[in-house]
Amino acid sequence: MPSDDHSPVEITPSTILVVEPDILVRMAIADYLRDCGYKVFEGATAADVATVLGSRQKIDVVFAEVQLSGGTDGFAVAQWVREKHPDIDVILTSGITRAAEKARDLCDEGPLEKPYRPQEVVRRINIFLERRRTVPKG
Amino acid sequence: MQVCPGLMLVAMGSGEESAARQPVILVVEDEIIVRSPVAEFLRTVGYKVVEAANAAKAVAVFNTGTVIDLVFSDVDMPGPMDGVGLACWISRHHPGIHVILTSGIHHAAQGRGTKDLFLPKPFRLAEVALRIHSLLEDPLQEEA
Repeated sequence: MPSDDHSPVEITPSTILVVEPDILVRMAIADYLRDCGYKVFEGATAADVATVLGSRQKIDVVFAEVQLSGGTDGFAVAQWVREKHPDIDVILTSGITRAAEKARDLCDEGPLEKPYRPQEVVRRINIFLERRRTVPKG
Repeated sequence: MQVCPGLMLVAMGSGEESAARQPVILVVEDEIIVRSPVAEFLRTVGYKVVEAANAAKAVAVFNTGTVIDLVFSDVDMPGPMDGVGLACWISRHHPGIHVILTSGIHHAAQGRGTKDLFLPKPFRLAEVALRIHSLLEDPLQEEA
């Protein structure tokens, strides 16, 4: 029975966790992503990633700086997310070239070097989201 | 998270008002699990929100010249400056800006002689938004 043809479709925006210790950088990219229609959570540390992913909040993509304060850097965050939450994609970014090169192993499209264009961040996010829609991870 | 539609109307105001600049709230809280829901709720009811994880980051935001209309800050945060210190700093450098302090320790920010308001934890998100709305309706005068 065709029943739902005219019922409203609820569109849930994709959710991005931005992990960046520099508040000025984080503000700018988080605002841009919100303007693009994403729901955005802002974290400053690796512990923030564990806290958010440990909550009931659904996250689609983690966009993280490599250089984080504390004992855990962005590489470790990416590995941890891959292991514990394989359904979540990670994009790493760094202003340090060597760090960015190392991140290549952890990012499908390679690392995003700073300074990045916010449009490029959105492009990367959309690649992951589109891939998820077409090829279920498994 | 419960969103109160009535509250949204209060915060957004009339169509004429909502065409004006969105008030900017700086939420200062080290616990992301507390900060994120507050920030998200305030965005939902119509505010622009800047999130800082400690007082130093909040000061950094002010130092960029970012326009802030009101600060909602936890008292107990790591680092050399706590929420009370931040409120004092704001009172000295930006005397026209209201500060609402919050803490799970009820005595932490009370009776310090500043013009901050205090909201004990745990708080309801709607209560935060109502306090903010009410304060923004009653702007402080910049001191000479």
